[in-house]
Amino acid sequence: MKYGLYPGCSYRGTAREFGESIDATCSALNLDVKELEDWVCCGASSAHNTSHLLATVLPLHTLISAREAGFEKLLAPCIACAWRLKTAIKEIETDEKLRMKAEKVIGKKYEGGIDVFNIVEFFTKEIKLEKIKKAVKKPLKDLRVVCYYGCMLTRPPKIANFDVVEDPRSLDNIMKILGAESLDWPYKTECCGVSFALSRTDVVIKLCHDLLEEIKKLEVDMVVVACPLCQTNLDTRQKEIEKKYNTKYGIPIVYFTQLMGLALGKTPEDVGLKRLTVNPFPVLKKKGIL
Amino acid sequence: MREIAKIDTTFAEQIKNECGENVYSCYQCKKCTLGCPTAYAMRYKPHQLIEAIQLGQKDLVLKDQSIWLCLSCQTCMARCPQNLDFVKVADAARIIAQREGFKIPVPEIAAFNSSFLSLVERFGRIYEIGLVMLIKLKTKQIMKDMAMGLPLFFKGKFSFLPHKVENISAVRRIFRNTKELEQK
Repeated sequence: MKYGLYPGCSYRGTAREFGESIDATCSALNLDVKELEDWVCCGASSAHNTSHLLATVLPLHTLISAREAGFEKLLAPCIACAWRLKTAIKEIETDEKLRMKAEKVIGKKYEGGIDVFNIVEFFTKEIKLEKIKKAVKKPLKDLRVVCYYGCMLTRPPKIANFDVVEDPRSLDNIMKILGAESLDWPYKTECCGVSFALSRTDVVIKLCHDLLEEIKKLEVDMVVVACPLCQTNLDTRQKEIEKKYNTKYGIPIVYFTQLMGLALGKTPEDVGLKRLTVNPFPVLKKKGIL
Repeated sequence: MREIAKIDTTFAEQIKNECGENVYSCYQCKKCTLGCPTAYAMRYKPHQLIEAIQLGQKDLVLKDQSIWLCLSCQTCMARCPQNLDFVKVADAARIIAQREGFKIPVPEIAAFNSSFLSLVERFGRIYEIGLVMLIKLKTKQIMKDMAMGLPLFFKGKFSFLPHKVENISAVRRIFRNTKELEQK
């Protein structure tokens, strides 16, 4: 039992294929990952909009339970969860008053000694690319992709402490060792509209349209993402955006772990490929990957 | 000689107490606004909101929809030459607005936040169908997002029943204790 997994609310819900592909990838690499028992939601964007203390204690509860379960390393695949967990650690360790209040709310002491990884950080910093490269069974030959990092993978820089803030390369590096061609572009860290998905859909439609317009120019086979919100916004809203702007994209938005799973010899079922709204099968068949 | 107007610093101090950020470090370079993905929809742009706080214009900041349109994407703070964290300032302003009973001018966002947290308090996790239904009821937009929701449902991405954490009393205690401590 080496790595604890904090799946977050979307892992078996709207980002189910993300969860399935992470499970498949970790099993292909023989990684010892175990889900945290009885984990609680991090509060996501709603808690920090409502109460600073609540936004701190919800992740802190998880961090304390992870330590109690004997984990020192915690994988939080959802980029927003990872941000909230890392923020809680930073704030608790630097703000004595907040720490005292938070411990009073939870009724337990926070002892520290736990590292949180987002999913890209986990594979590139902890597992390392050489290990993944050695395990590739089916290279993603001739696949032209563009990596979309979104906003929270590298931000805020002091909390994320990962990759180059304005010009990250970690996802591109993963794609390259899997054999794909990964293109550079200027919009890689622009925002997709994140949590406005259900509340201010107009904003999401506008921002995703701007992104898809830029992506269209690159003539790529698919977009590679690492965040459940980026994926959902760009994939499930794509038809609506096409209708509103009277255009056509049809660009599959695929989790990097789905492509990684395929390259490591897993089946399309294993990585939940059929759950994507924009169908990725035709292009993957054309390229001889499926 | 003309008397120099005094600036009311009370609101800026209140923001600082809430989140630790000093808005007076801002010298209006506008980098935050230039990178902001939702500035186009805001009446007052991020740099203007900071200026308004510097000047003590509390009502202007808390009654307007602009602070509610911040996505917390953190582009502004990552680029700020003064290391001022606008996301924290926006969070603080939103928290103060709610605490002091200001009406949230973007009801959809208020509905999303209250629905989200009530589900976490009840189940310990998010119940996605429940979240969608609650928002629909609160905003009275029943048909919105049906075109997106149905395919997700058929792809097995929505579960019918909520997943409740076993130790739900610990979660409820967290919510209760937080409220009690904040009211003190």
